[in-house]
Amino acid sequence: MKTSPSRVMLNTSMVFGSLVGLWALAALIGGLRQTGWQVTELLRQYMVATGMIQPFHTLVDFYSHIKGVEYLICVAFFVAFPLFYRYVNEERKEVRTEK
Amino acid sequence: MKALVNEAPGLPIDRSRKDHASSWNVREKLLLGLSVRDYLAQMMRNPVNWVLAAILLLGIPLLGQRYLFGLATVTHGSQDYPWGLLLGFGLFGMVPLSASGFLLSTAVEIFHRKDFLPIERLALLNGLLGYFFAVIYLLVDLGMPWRLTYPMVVSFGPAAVLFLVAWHVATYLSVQIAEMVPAFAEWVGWPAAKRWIKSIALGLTIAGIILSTLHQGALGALFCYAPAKIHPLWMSPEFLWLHFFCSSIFAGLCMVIIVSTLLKHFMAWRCDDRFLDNLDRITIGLAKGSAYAMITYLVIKLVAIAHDQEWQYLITGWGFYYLLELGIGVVLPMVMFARGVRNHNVAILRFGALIAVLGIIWNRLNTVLVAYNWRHYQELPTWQETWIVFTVLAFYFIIYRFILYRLPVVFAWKQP
Repeated sequence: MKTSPSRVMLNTSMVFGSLVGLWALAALIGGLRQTGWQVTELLRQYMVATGMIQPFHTLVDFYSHIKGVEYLICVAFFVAFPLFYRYVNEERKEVRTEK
Repeated sequence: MKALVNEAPGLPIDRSRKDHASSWNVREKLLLGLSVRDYLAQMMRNPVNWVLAAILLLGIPLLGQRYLFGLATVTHGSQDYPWGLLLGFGLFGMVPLSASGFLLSTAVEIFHRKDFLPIERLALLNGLLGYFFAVIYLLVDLGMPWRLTYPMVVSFGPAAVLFLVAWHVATYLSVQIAEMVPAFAEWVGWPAAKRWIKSIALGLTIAGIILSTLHQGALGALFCYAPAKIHPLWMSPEFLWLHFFCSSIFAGLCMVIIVSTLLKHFMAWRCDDRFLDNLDRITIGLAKGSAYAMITYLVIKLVAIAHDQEWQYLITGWGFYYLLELGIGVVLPMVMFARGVRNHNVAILRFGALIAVLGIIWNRLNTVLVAYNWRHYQELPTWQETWIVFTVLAFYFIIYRFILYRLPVVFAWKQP
C-alpha cells in the first residue's frame, strides 16, 4: 500500500502537534498544582515571567516597554484585520446538485 | 392600524393629493386619514399604548416631583456619584446609539453608496431623536432648563469639556434637524425647502462628520474630570475618547438594524416595497461595517491596557468583569456578524445587533456607575430614577412612532 508524501507530512504534523499539546497540558497542570490550583496566581506568574508585570525604575524603561508591546499588538492587527476582512467577505459558495 | 389603512381607499397617506379634486389637509394628515373616532379606537386597541400609559401615569408625577422638590428626592445623586442612571443611560448610552445619522449620511452622500438610500432617512431620524432625547435626559438631570443658553451665549467656559459637548450637541442637533427637513417638506408640501436643503446636503454631511466625531470622543474625554475615581480598566486618559468614538460606530449601525427589524415586523403597512425588499441586503451591509468597527475597537482596548500597563488588573475580579463585558458585548456579536454575513443569515445578524446595543449600554453604565468609585461603593439607582428613565424612553418611543407613521421616512412620498 502506497502513501503519498503529503499524507506522511500530515501524519507527522499530527503526531508532533499532539506531543506539543500533551507537553503544554502537562506544563499547565503542573503549574496549576504548584500554585495550589489558583488560576489567577498562575496567570500572574506567567505575566511576571514574560515581563508583562515588572517594576520599572526609569521613565525610559517604562516607555520602551509599553511602546514595544503596543507596536507588537499593532503589527498583529495589521495581519489579523485583512484576514478577518477576507473571512467576512468570503461568501459560502452555493452547492448545486448536478443532474 | 394595519387593518384600517388596508380597508380604506387612498390609505396609508403617501402623497399630497387625496384624489384628482382635492389634497389632504393637515388635520387629515395628522389623523392618518382616519376619522377622530377611528383614530382613537385604534389607539385603544393597541396593547403597547396601555403599557406606555401605565409608565406615564406614574412617570409624569415623578418628573413633577423632580422639578418641584429637587433631584435628591428621586435619585441617589451626590458629590460622590454625580452621574447616575439619568446620564449613564440617557446621555452616555443614547448618544452612541444615535451615531447612525452621520454614518449613513456619510455612506450615501460622500461615498455614494446609493444601495443604502432606502434606510438613510431612518438612520437620520434615529440620530436626531436619540440626540434630542439625550438632551432631554440631561435637562431632567440638570434642572433649570432656562439656563440652557448659558454655555451658548452667556458664559462660554471654553476650558471645560462640557462646553465642547454642549456646543457639539447643539450644533449637530441643528444639522440633523436640517437633514430631516426634506422628509418634513414633502409631508407639508414645501418643495422649495427640500430643494434648498438638497443643495447644501454635502456641507451638512461634512459638518455632521466633524461634529459627531468630535463630540462622541468628547463624551469619553469627560471622564478625564475624574480619572482617579474610575477603575483603570475603564479609564484610559489617552484612549477613552477613542473607545467612545469607535464603539459609537457599531452602536449606531446596530441600532438601525434593530429599529428596521421592528418596523419590518410591526409596521410593515407603513414601509414601501423599496424599503422591505432591500432590508435584508442592507442589514448584511450594516452588520459587515459593524464587524470591522468591533475588531478595531477590541484592538484599541488592548492597546490602552498595554499603554497604561494594566495587565495585572486583568487577573482580578474587576478584570474578569471587564473581560465578561467585552466578551458578551463585543466579541460575541462580532463572531455572530462574521458568521451571519458569510452565510447570509439575517436572523443571527439581528440577534447580534441586539446584543451589541445592550453591550454598549452596559459599557457606558459600567463606566458611569459600576466602575465609578470602585474603591468605595457602587451606587444603586432609586426606583424613582429608573422609572423616570423609562418615562422619557416612553416619550421617545411615542414621538419616534408618531413621525414614522406620518413622514416619508421608510416610504417614498409619491408625486401627484
